[in-house]
Amino acid sequence: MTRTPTPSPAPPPGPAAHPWVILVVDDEGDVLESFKALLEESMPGVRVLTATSGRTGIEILERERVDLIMSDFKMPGMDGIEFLVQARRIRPSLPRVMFTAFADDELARKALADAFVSEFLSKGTEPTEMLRRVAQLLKYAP
Amino acid sequence: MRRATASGTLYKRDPVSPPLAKAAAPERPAAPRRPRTRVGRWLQNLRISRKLAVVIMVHLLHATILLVLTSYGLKALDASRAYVEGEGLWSKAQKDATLHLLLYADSGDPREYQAYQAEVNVTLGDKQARLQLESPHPDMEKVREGFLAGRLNAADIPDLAWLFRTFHWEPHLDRAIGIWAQADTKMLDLLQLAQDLHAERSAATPDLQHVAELRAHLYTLNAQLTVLEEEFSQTLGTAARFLSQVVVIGTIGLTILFVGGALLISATVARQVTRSLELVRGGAQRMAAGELGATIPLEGNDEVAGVARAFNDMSRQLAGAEKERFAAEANRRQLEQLRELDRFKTDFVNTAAHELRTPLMPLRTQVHVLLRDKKEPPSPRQRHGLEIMERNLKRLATLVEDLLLVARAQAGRLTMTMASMDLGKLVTDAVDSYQPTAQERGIRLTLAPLPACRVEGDAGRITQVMENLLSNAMKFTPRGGSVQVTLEERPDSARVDVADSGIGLAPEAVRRLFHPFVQVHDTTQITESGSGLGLYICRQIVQMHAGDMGAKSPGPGAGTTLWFTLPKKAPAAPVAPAPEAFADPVPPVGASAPNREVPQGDAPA
Repeated sequence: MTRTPTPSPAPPPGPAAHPWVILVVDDEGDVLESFKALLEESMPGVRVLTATSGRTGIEILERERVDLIMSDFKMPGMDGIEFLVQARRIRPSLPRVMFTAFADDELARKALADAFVSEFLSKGTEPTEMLRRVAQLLKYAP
Repeated sequence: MRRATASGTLYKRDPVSPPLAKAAAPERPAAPRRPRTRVGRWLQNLRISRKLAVVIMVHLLHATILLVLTSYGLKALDASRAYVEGEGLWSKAQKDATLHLLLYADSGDPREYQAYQAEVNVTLGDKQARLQLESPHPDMEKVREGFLAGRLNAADIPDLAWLFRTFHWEPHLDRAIGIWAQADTKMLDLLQLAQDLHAERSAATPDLQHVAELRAHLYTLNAQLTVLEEEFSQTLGTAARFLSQVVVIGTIGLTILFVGGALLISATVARQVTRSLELVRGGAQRMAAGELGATIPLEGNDEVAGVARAFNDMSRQLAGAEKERFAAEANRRQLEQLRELDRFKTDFVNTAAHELRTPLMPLRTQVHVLLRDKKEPPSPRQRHGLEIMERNLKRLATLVEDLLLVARAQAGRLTMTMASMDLGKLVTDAVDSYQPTAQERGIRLTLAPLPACRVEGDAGRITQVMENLLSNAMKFTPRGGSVQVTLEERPDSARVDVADSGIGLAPEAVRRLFHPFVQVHDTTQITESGSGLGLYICRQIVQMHAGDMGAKSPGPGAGTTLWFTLPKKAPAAPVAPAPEAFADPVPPVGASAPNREVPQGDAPA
């Protein structure tokens, strides 16, 4: 699981520049953009791939190298849990994070039980705390 | 006859309208009518078989009485006949005796005198019987002997004696007996005359003149006796007629009485039974029309009343079951409504959470990113503005998080994940995390040596409580002050105290400290402001652990201690937080000192 910053011999899109890749799925554009800016600007070496639906997220997951998956819950079409369940099927070893504005213990339990998420991150969490948690999950060591 | 009309009305009550019309609109039950007479009430309480037996008994009694009456009547009439016969024999004997005496007077033939004596014995026999019967204790043998001498049939003698003694009171019979006695007295004269005549004729020289006188006297006596005999006959005839009339009238009267009585009883029984059955039918129809619990207002003790009682029991049970069903239905509906409300609350909390957090998140992250942009650092003026935004966004976000937490607790959606944890380590970690802040503010934050203390609880939530208490203590403690944290282990629980040397609290304020949205200190002077929900939430969390939380302060300026306890064993069932807080968010403040809980001037709060 440890991601060493040593570049691969045949790097796809600049693995040396971006040793850590996070896939964020959320239907809200503002949230996606802001989160991407926060992560990429606060954590050098991190690249954020974004998707506005579960379907697009799956496509990216099948195509790209990803180190951490973060997904919103409430999305049109496929919801966050469905997406994370499918993501687990494709890349079982990847850490998954439910990243939501909901405040429901039941939802957290369901995410844990169905999608085996590593973390249930509220959108109300402070930016610095978010960064700390993501860094922990990524085993981020620049 | 009256009964006949009564039974007529009985059948008139039968509905003329078709029974279907009745079933469509079941009539209310007639009020139970109590029988007016005692016999009626007695009859009502009899079983139907007994009621029928009563009717039959009346008829049997009637027949028996008629039989007795008729047999006695016939016996009396037969005895009367025997008396008439006896009177005939008596009269004939008297006439023959007179005739022989006359012949003896004329001829002096002693055979005539003997013939006279034989005839006169008949009347003497009857007299003997009469005298015996008139005595209080008659010698029946002498009675029999007398009547036999009177040439009466031996078979008639018992009836003769019975009639004499039994009906002596009857005026006609009494009079007849009186006439008989008179005749017997006259017969004494005749006997005397016969003796005189016999003496004269037996004399050596009979005085013919005297004989002629006696002869003439004999005629007179005979004529007098004839009158008495006729009177006796007539009186006896009247008595017999009276007797037969009594028998006839008695028979007719008794028949009317008994047949009437039997009819009356039969009609009453029929009416009672019909009416009872009608009441039962009415009850059944009312129940069929949906009136569960319909009862039959039936009194009495017969079989129909038994059916009615069974019906009423059944009806009551059905009504009870129906009532229970209704209650269960009402409960179910209420429960459904509560569930609906619960769903609504949950939905509301979820929607509120989503809609409040979602716009805040990009705001905060963008401000964070802009402030820390190294490629295009903000100008000092921009930085200042962004810092204000960041501070206030944080404040808003904290308020939103606190509100959501309270709303979740109120909706019962806040759950504690109970696990065994080391409270000592938890407290140490919390204190350690606040050391930088304490140093920055020049506050001495100390922690008493901690025992390893395991309790069951939600570590995340208790950490939240600890951080809240510490932040609170920091906020209200001036530079140079101290905050002392102690953990005390008790047999079943653990207690944490966070004591500061800060601004302290008025007693009023201590009371209000844990109410939501209450800020007991003047907030205008502090840089970081709370929502007023922090301690409320802390107490809710502690209460959900079945613990308690409180505050104490010697007074304004004398510091404050906030404490909480946690049981070592988590409650088996989730504990609902006290709901009173929202119902009365701002308790009434003492009228005398409305502002005392807000210490002015000395408050860094």
